Amino acid sequence: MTIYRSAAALSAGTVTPAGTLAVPVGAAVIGVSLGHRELAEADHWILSLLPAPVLACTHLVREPFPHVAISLVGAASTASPATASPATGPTTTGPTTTGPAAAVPEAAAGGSGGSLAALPGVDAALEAQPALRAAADLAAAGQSGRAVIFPGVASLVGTLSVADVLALSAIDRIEILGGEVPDPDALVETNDFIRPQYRAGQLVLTAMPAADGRLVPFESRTPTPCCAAH
Amino acid sequence: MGHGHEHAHDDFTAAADVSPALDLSVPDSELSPSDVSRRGFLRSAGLLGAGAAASVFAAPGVAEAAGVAHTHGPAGGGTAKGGFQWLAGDHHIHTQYSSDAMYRVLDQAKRGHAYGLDWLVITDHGSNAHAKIGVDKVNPDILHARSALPGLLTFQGLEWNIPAAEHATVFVHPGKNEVSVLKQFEQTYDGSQQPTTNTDAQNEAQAVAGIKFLGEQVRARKVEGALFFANHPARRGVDSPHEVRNWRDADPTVAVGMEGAPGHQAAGIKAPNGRGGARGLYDNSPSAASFAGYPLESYRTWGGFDWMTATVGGLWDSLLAEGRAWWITANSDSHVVYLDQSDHAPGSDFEANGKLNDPIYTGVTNTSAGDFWPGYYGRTNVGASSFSYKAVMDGLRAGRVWVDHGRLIKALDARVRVAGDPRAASGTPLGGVLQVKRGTSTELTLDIDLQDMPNWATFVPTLKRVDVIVGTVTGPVTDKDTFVAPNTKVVKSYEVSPGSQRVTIKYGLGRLDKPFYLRLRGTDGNRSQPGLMGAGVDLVGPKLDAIGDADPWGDLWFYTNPIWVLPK
Repeated sequence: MTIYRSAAALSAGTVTPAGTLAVPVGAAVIGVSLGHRELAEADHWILSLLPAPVLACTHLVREPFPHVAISLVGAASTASPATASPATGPTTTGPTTTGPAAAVPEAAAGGSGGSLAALPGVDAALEAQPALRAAADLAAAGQSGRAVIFPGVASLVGTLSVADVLALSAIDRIEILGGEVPDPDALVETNDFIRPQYRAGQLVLTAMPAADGRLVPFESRTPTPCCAAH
Repeated sequence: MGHGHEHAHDDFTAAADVSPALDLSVPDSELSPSDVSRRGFLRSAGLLGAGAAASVFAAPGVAEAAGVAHTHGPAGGGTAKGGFQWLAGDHHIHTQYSSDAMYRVLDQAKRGHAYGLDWLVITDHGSNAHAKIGVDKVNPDILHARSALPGLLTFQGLEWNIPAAEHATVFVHPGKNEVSVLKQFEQTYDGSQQPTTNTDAQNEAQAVAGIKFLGEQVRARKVEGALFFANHPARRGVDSPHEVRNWRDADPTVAVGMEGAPGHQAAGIKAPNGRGGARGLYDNSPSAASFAGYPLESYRTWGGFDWMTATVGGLWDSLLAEGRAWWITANSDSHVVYLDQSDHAPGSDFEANGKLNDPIYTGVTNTSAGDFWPGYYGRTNVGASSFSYKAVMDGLRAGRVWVDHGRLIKALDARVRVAGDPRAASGTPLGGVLQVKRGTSTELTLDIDLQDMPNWATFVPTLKRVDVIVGTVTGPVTDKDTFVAPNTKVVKSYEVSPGSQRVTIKYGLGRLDKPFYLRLRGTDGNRSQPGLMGAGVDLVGPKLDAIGDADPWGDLWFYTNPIWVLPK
C-alpha cells in the first residue's frame, strides 16, 4: 500500500458547512491517497482515525488507476497511530457505526503542516509516490467530495425527519432522486449510514423514496456486490 | 454531400478480413469454389450485407443521401420483411455452475419452457473454476436439456466479466466446437483471467479483442454464430458510453445490444413477504471505476428498466440517433428464485468441482430471494423465420425484438411503410431500415393483441397507453461518451379503451425530410412521472422504483426496438 499526503490551508468560503457546527476557517486540509479501490475500504480507514477529524471526505480518482482519495480537515496532532488501523490491504469490512465526535480538536486549526506527522499509516519513506500525489492534491483542494465524517454525523442515527437531519448536522439540503420535493416532516431511515456530497459548496444528501412513504439515503451501506464468482 | 472522411474504412467486410469471399465487389463467378461456399455460409449466417451492420448507413450511398457523415462498419438492422414467428426467450440464466446460484440446468430449462419460453441461454459466471471446469461440465447437462425438452432451444453461453466493465451474455450456436470456443474465449478474455496489473486502457482493449475473437470463430466456421449482450449495463456506472460504442464497433455481427431491463425483478417486493431491496438489485453508488459523467439517476431502475433504455433521449437513443444498430432485451438473471422451497445442499466444493451440489428441497419458503424463474416475468420476443437456433440468433442480430414484463401484451406487429401501402407484409419490421425518396410519406402501422390470458401472477394485464418515440438521425457523434439525444421525444400517445381486444394504430410520419427512427413503448399506466429530459420530451415516462416497495406486477411496460426511415 502506498500513501501520499498533500496539505493545504482551508480558506474562507471553501468546504464550510453552514450552521453552528462550522469547521473553523483556516483549518488544515490534508489530502491522502492510499490507493483504496472501494469506498468501504476508505471509509474504514477514515473511521479508524483517533481522534476523529472534523471533516473527512472521499474523492473518486481515475489516475493512475481508479481509486478513492481522502481529504481530512482538523486531523489532530495528537492522533494516535497505535489505535488506528493503517490500510494494509483491501478490506471488504464495512465501516463501523461508531459516530465520530463533532468537536474540533484544538490543534486542527492553524497551519497546514503541523498535524500531518501523526496520521496513522503515514510513513515518510512512502511519501514520494508521484503517482498518487496528484490524487492527494486533488483531495486536498477539492470542495467536492463525499462526506464520511462531518459535523453532526453522530446524531444521524435511526429514523429522523428531514427537518431534524438538517437541524442536527452540517447537511444543507436533502434532495430526492426522481425530483420529488422533500417534506420537512418526511421520515428518513438513516440505517446509521449517511454519506452526503459537497456540491457547489453545499453539503447535500440525496435520498430515495422507500417503503411506507419514507426516505432512505441514496447510498446503501450494503450495496449488492458486483459479482460473487471472481 | 461528400463522403465526409478520407481515411481507410475499418469495417470487417473490407479491411479486417481480406478474404475474397467477404469482398462483395468480387462477384460469385470470380471466386474459387471454396470461397463461393464460404460466402454462401456467411450470407446464410447473416454475416454479409445488410444483416450485419454497425450502422444503418453502411450500404453505399445511404449516409450521403441522408445528409449525414458516413459511419463505420457494414449495414445494419436487417431488411427481411413478411411474417415471422415470435419466439420468447431469456438470454441470462444461472445454474449450479455459478457459485452464487444453485439450480440444475434442467431445473431452469424445464421452468423456462413451462413458463412459455421457446429459447434460453445458460450463462454461468466467468470465473477461475468455470474457465477450468464448469465450462466443460455444464455441456452434458445442456445436451441433456436439449434432448429432454425438444420444444425448447437451449444455448450454451457464459456471463462474461467484461474487462474494465460490467457483465455480458456471450453465447454461440450449438455445434461440435461450442465448448472449445467458449472455453478459449473465457480463459483468454474473461475479466477474472486478466493480470491485476492491467491498466484500464489495457482492459478495455482486451474487451474489444474478445468480441473480435468471437467474430473470428464464426468466420473460421468453428461455430455458426456468436452473440453478445451487455448485462445490467447501468447498474454500477462502469459501462461508459465509449465502451458501449467500442464493443459494437469491435464486431457488429457479435455485439448487438444490451439488457433494456435487468433481471432480479422480484428484489423490490416489500418485506416481510419479499426481499425489500432495490428492483433489479440496482442499489449501487458511483465508485472509482464508474464513468464520472453518469448521474445518480442512472444507478436505479425506472419502471423496472435500466436507465440507459428508460430515459427517452438518453443513452440508448444517442446510439440510435447515430444510426448505430443496438438492441435491447429483457431477462431473468435467475440465480435463486423468490418463494422457491429449495436451498443449497451442504458440502459443496465449488472450486474443486466447478459446480455446487444439486439443490435440496427444504419446505422453507424463500422470501428474501430477488429472482423469478426464466419466463415467469420478463421475456425477449424475437421475430424468427423458423423455430431454430439459427433463426433466433438471426432475429436477435437483426433487432426484430420487443420485450415485456408480466405478459403485458400478447403479441405485437409494428411496421413502417410507404403511406397507403395496403400489403400487410410489405412493411419494414422492428430493427429494419426503410429507405424511400425524400418527400415520400411514410406511416407506422401497429397491431397489438391485448392480453386475454392471465399471467403468472394470475391476473390479466391491462394495457393503458402506447407511446410513439421518434428521434432525428444525426450521424456519428464526435464525443464517444455522448449519452443524450436532444432530438428524440415522445411524439404521440394513445390511450387504450377499456375492454379492447386489439389495438390498431396507423400513425402518419409525414413526408420524409430528415432521416429518423421510431420506437414504441407501452404501459399498464400504474406508475409514471415526467422523464429525466423533461415533460416536453416524455410527459408520462416510467417512474423511479422505490427502495423496498417495488411490486413488479403493479408496474408493467413493453418496449420495442427501433425502425429507421432513411432517404435514398
